[in-house]
Amino acid sequence: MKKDKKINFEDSMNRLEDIVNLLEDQSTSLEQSIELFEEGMLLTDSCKEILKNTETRIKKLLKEEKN
Amino acid sequence: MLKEKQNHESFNLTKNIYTVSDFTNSLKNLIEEKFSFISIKGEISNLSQPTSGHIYFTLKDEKAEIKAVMFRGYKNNLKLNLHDGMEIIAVGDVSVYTQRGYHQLIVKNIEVAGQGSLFIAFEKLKKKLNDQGLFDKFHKKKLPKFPLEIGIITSSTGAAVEDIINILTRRAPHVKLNLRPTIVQGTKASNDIIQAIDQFDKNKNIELIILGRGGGSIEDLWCFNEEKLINKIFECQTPIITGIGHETDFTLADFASDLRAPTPSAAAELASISLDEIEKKLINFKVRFSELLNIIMNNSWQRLDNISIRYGFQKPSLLIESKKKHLNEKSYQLKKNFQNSFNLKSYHVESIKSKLQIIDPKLILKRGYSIVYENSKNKIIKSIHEISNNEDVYVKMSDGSIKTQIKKIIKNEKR
Repeated sequence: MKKDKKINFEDSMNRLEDIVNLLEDQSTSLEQSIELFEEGMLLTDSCKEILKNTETRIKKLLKEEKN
Repeated sequence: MLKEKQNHESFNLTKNIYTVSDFTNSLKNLIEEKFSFISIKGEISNLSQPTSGHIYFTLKDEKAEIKAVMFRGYKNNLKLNLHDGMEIIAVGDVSVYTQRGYHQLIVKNIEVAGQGSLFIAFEKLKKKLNDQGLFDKFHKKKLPKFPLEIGIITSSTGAAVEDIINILTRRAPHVKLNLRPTIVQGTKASNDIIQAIDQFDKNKNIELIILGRGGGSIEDLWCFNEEKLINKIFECQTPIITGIGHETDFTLADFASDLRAPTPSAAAELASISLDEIEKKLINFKVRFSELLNIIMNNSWQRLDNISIRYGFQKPSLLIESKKKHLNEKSYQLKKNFQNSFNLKSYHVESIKSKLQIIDPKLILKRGYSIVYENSKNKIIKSIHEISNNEDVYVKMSDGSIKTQIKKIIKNEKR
């Protein structure tokens, strides 16, 4: 995963689906699993951050509207 | 010079000088006596039926007109619905209205004399233009929903222009209005209006044109039935709303325009959605936006949650657990395999042991054999060449040992 690239929510979600499927697949090696798990956790965090930022932006926009 | 003077003098000589009242009364008597119960053929225009119950109209032909009134008491004789343009034969008396100094027909009965000539011309042109497709619905242009600039073509005087401007400035203060005053009656009107339409149509900023005129007789509105104007309205690229006359007045311009409003005021209202309505719409949009955003956010959270609670992410220990289980299985197998091979080996050892027992030297000693050691007891003597005479040796038996001396060495004979 390139960190520099701006994270796209949709792409991240699709990657998360792939990761969790791979993790639940018994044939994935331990080394690969831990790497996937780490990537998954980072992606989950960034997705949450995107959602929270979006919520803040929405709230701000709606507030500006009320004023 | 002289002649004129004479005439002047002769005029002065006339002793009989009328007052206005005297003259008008004389005229009244003369006319009313001469034209009692006469029939006049003509076309109705300026028809007016006020609440008083009397009916007023003008009876006219191409060159002249006369005022007419049918008083309430005679209305029972009337079997027709009167309208402008109707050609009738009016039966009644001519009377002079002395206070105002004009004559009028006091109508007692009315008969139809066929349609008026203007009416016939109207119907004829309507049919022609209709056949050419000028009134077809699919030619009607869509009116802009939120026009920002409107062109107004109407007379600069009269109620129509005031109504249109008042209504537009009240309802849609954001709309820029362009007024092009025109003549709206008579022979020059249609050309003026055509020019005005051209002017507005060339102005790219003008999104909509209102063509309006207040009420009037069929003659007054006639310019809106002229073929060249109808063609111009049809050709105009900018949408046109017409609001001509009253609700009951239909002109050919109305048929050719993109939208016909019953009156100039109605045209102004139809021309622009009010600012209030725009605001309401915007508020509606805002509500829908925030609702939609909420739904999108909730869906996104749910999607992320659904992935997060999958066991692949929820319990990383489970990931290792399966690996551990695998490892345990392997190590158990390893132990088991080792045990097996150990058992096999020890069995092998046992079997060798029992084989070895058969050749145990102690058993051999018991059977009567002896083992001869060197004096030091370290080395078994297996050959006569390993010892010499008088050397001390030990002889081991099954139940003890003998220390002795070699007296003679006897070599086996060769066979």
